[in-house]
Amino acid sequence: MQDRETESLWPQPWGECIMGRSEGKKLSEYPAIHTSYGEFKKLFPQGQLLKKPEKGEAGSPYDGYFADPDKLGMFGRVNDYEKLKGKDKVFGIRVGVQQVAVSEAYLVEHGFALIPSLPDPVIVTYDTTGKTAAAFAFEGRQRGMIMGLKPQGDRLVGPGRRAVWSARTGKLIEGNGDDLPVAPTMSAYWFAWLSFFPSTELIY
Amino acid sequence: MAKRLLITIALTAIAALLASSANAQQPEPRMTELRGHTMYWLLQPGEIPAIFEPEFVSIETADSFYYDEEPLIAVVSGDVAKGYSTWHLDHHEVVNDLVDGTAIAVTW
Repeated sequence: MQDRETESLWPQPWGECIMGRSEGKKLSEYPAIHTSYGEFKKLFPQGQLLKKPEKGEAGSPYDGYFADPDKLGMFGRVNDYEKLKGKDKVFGIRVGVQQVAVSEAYLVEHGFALIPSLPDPVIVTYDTTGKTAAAFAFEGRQRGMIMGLKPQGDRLVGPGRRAVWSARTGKLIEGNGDDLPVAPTMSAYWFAWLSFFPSTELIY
Repeated sequence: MAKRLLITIALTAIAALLASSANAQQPEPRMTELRGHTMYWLLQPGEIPAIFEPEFVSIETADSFYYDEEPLIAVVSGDVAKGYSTWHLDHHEVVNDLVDGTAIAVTW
């Protein structure tokens, strides 16, 4: 990314200025949910959509690139990655100096991933039907995963079922408590995430 | 690994080449030394037009030009939920927006 006013450069995965007058400055990540339009309509019936000029054909101009498992970027990089293939998709989370990636394949198989190693425990949930991935951090007042928060279908159930949340939005559905805060996550190919965060933890 | 990183940084600026016209004239990539490594510039700033004044529509209206399977990045703040199509972001890569008074850049 380039900032027009300062002509400085900011790689998206880092959110940090690497060149120009703002060098060293950092942006804060903003929470987001990765989903599909069909699922968005169900989760947020009052939601708003970025206006497009026309409907056009379905798909991305990069579908050919997306579909080629051995085309990693533009420079003929060899797909010789360990643990995952270079074009496997991951959902990445950064907290301070820690980075954790969760493979989409893991989420498809298990429906969720617990990340207790972060300062505030995080749970990543995934819905295969709606292709919705979201991560929720538990602040101290939520008592964290140690208290036994359990995923049950599209819900997250607190200890003793005293509270139940949507596993897609973090909204409180039953009981007493606050909504779960959505944690910032990034959707990326493994080769790209690893390039920017070589010390990343990986759940796969 | 560091070389891979710099190449990956360059990739964020060249994604549009994959979908650009075969007849488009592309300038010679220039190089910059950055932190002891070489960074390649394959696009000029602004060649992928970012969105600076996004407009939003209701679901009722969006049904006319969104597909159910269309991937979205959804940003939620309180009762406000906004969806940004990544198929649309393929052509713009950055949307500058305000959510609950906070300036954000939605990037893809």
